Amino acid sequence: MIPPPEESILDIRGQVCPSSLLTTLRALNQHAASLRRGDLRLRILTDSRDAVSTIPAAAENMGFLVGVEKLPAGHYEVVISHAAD
Amino acid sequence: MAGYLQPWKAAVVLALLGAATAAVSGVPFGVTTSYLKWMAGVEQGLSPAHVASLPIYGTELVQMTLPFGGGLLTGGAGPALDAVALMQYPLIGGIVFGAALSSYLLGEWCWYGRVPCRQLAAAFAGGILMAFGSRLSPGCNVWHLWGGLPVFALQSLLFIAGLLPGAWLGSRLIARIVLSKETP
Repeated sequence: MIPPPEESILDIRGQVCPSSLLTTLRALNQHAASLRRGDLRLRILTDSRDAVSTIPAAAENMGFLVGVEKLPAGHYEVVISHAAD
Repeated sequence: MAGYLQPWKAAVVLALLGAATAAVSGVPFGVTTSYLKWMAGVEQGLSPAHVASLPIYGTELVQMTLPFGGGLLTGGAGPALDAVALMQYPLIGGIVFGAALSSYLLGEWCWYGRVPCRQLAAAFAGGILMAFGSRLSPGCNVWHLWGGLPVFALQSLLFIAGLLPGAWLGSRLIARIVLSKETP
């Protein structure tokens, strides 16, 4: 049985464009290998509505799978994981 | 996604609004002269003689004929409620309260203070630089891109000639600031 991937949380609430995207790209590059192996899933918390458009577009261009969810507290959760084979 | 406005739709609405403003008042929208007016207002309370002595506060920047048979209205950077205040205050109010209303209606409104210090400092320094630049040009991106560029005003073309390398330099700097190891 394949173990579930680890989760890493990146809380970038309070940051606006372009900091949100830059900070996320740095984390994606740092964890690219683990993400691509499927060992890690990156959960990003952001309250910037722009970031909910820019981060998924950038991550998808890098070949990752991205999910966006709005949480009841008012901010967003962007989940980045390895692309489905 | 809720709250997302396609850029081309925003561009069309802004173009119509800008054209209507220019048609009615004869001058484009602006924002930054108001900041100077507020500064003049503060200084007026502290040192009225100094305000009166500075030419920038006494210069008439806008002269418009009110529509529908109204009289002539003038305005400048001085502390008075004049034509500049009439045109710029509602726009500034609309930007601030419109953004707040949008976030409130989407359930995003909250107070959040845990912003990385370096980004806070960078935003403050950027504000100072932009304010300084907007007085040198004179005018901000709203005035030049929204009002001057559509009529190919030489001043606005010069503004854009400075804006492009400035934006490039700013993007290099902000990337270094944000991605610095000290940033949490």
